[in-house]
Amino acid sequence: MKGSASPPRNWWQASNRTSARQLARRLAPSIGLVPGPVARLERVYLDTVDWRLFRHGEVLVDEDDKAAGHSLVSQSRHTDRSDLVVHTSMRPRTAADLPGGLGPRLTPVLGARPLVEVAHEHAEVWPLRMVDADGKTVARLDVERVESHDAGAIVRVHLRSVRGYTGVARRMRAALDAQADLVATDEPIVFAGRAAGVEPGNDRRPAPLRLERSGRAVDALAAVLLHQLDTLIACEAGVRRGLDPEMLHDFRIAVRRTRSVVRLARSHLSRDLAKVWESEWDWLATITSTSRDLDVLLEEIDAARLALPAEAKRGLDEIEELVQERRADAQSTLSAALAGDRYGTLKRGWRVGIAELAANESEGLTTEALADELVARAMRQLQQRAAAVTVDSTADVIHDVRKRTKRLRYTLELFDSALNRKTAKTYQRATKRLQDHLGAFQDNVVYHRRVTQLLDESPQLAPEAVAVARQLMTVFDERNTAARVELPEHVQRFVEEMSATSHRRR
Amino acid sequence: MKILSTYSIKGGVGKTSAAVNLAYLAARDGEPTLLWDLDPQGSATYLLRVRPKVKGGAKGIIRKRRPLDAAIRATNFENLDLVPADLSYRHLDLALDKTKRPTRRLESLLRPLADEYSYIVLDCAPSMSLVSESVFGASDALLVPMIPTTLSTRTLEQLTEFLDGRPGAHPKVLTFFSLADRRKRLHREVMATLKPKNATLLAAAVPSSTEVEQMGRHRAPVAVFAPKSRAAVGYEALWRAVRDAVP
Repeated sequence: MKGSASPPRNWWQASNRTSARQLARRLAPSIGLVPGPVARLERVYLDTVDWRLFRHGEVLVDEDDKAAGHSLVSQSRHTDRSDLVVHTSMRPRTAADLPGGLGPRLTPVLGARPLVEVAHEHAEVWPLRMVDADGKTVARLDVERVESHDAGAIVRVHLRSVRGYTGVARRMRAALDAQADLVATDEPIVFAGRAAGVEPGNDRRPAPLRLERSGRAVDALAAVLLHQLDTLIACEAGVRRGLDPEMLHDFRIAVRRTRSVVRLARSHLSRDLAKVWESEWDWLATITSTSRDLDVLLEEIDAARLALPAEAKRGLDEIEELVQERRADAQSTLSAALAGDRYGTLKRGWRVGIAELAANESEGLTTEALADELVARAMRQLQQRAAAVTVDSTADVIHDVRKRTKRLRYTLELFDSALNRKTAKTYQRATKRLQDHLGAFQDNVVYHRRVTQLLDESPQLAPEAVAVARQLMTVFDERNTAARVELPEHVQRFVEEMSATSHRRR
Repeated sequence: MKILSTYSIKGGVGKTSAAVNLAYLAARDGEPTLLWDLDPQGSATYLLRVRPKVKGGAKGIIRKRRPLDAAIRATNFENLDLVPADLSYRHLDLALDKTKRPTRRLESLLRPLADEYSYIVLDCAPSMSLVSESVFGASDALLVPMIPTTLSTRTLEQLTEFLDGRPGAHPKVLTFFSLADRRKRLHREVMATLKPKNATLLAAAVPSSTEVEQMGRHRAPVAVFAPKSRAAVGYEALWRAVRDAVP
C-alpha cells in the first residue's frame, strides 16, 4: 500500500505581504470553507538521527496545542493513509515508548534507534473545512503562520486531503494553484529541518562499497579505508551530541574496521600510515569504550528490571541513576575529545595518507589477491589462538580470540565483493556464530567489571542498591560460567568447519 | 490487527450501535481503526455521515476487481476510517458464492490492511448465510449483543451450536447484554440467571437508553454528544472488556 513516488503537492507558501488571518478570511468564502477555532501549536518533529522514519515515508510530530493538549501525530508522506493521532502527555524516546497504534506502525522502521528532535516550529493555525450536505468533512485546509528556528516567519497553506475524497482535494489543489500570491513549497518537516541546518533524509553515511576484483590492490585498500573514514565522520555529529547509542556503536565499528585493515595489510601500507597513526586509532578506540560499555550496561539493567523481584526496584533505580551519571561524564569527555585538535589532526592526516597510498606505484597485486591474502592471514592468526582455548583459559586469552574473530569478520565484510561469494558467505556465517559465543562470555566479564568499579567508587550507595548490584554480578557470573563451559566446543567446531572449507580463489 | 465483528442472527439488538461506538472508542484510544459496514441498510454508514456508495459494488470488492483500500473513507473522527455500505451488499452471498474459498474471502480481503489498522470492526447484517460464514472465518472475536429475554438466549444457543458444528477453529464468542432495562423484571431475571452460566458473557452491559436512539439524530457515537450518559459509560466498559478479552 506504499504509494507512488511523486505525491501530490499539498503545501503552498504565501508571499511576504499576506498575513495568515487575511488569507484564511479570503480563502474561506472563495473556496466554500467553514472556519474553525484558531490554534497555537508547538510542533517538534521526531526521527532517528539517520532519518529512518522520513526515508521510510513517515513523519512523526509531537504537537502541543495550548488549548487541546498534547498529542503525537503519525503522517504518511507518500500515501493517502489517514493521520494517526494519539493524545498523550509523554514524548517517546524509543519505539518501546510509543503509545496506541504508533508502536505497531513505527517499531519495525525504528528498530533500536532512539527518537530525537530533528526540527521544531511554532505555528498559529487557522483551520478551514469543506463540509458536504451530510455534515461530513471532505477536505481540510490549514492556513498557518509558522516560525521555525531562526528562519523568520512564513505563511503556509496546508491542504489536508481526507481519505476517500481525492476528487475534492484535486479541485481544491487547482483552486489554490490559481491564487496569485501562493507558490508551491516544501513539506513542513523539510522546511523546519532546513531552518535547523539539516537536510531531512540525509544520514550522510556513504553508500556500500563495491570493489573491482581485477583492480589494483592499493586502490581497493585506499577505497576501503576512505569508506571507513567517511562512515566515521557521518556518525560523528550523533556521537558528539550523545543522542543515539547506535551511532556510537557504528562509529566504533568504523574505528575497529580501520584498525583491523591496518594491522592485516601493514606490508602494503607506507610506514607512516601503518605506524604513525596506529597509536592515534588506538586512542580513538579507547576514548569511546567507556561510553559504549555503559550504554550496554544500561540495556542490561533495563532487561534485569523484568527478571528481578519488585522489591529490588529501588536499588536498581539507584544503580541505574549512578550508571547514567557515569555515562553523562563519559559523554562530556568523549564530546570534548571529538571537538579537540588530536581528533581533527587524525582525520586530516589519515585522509592525506590514504590519498598518498592511492598514488603509490602498483606492485602488480589485484584486489582479489589482496582480499584472499588478508582473509588467509586473519584466519591463520585466529586459528592459532583459537586452538589454545580451554575451559580454564583466562579472560584475556578469550578476549584475544574474540578480537581476532572480529578482525576476520570485518575483513570478510569489507572485501566481500572481491572474494569468492560462496566461501565468503560460509566464513561470515561461521565467524558470526563464533563471535556471538565469545560475546556471551566477554560481555558478562565487562558488565561484571563495570559494576565492581561502581561499587568500589561509590561507598555511599544504599544497602539495597549494593544488594542489587551483587545480585546482578551473580547473574553475570552465572552466565559467564555457562558460556565458558561451552566455549571450547564452539571454538573447536569453528576450527574444524574452517579447515573443511578451504578458501579458494574464484 | 484484530478483527471484531458485531453479529447476531436477530435484528434490532444493537449490533450497529455497538459497532460504531466500539470502533470510535478504539480510535479515540489512539488505535487506527476501520469499520466495515456490511449491512446493506447502511445504518453505520449513515451514523458516520458517509454516503452509502462503493464503486464497483459488492461484486467489485469480493472478486478483487477493485481493491478494498480504494473504498475506504476517513470519518469525521480521528483514527477512524470506514468502508461504507452499498445497496449491492444484499447480493454479497451471490458474489461470495462465485469465489473459490468463500468462507476465507473476507479474511483475504482484509489481510493487506494489517499494517495499517490495529482494529477492524465488521458490522454484519442479521442473518445466517455465506456472508456470516466468511465473517466467522475472518474474525478474531464475534461480539454478540443480547437483549435479556428468553428468545435472545435461544438465539445465542443456535449460534454456539452452529459454530461448534463448523470444522476448524472458530472465533472467540463474546456476548453482552444490550438494550438492558433494569426496570423490567424479565430483564433482571434473565441477566441474573445467565451471568453465572455463560462463560462468554462479558460483565459490561449496554443499557436501554434514549442516547443510543439519539445517535441517529446526532449522527455520531454516544461518547461524542453525551459523554457522561449511562449508555456512554456502558460502551466504555464494554470496550475495555473487549480489549482485554482480545489482547
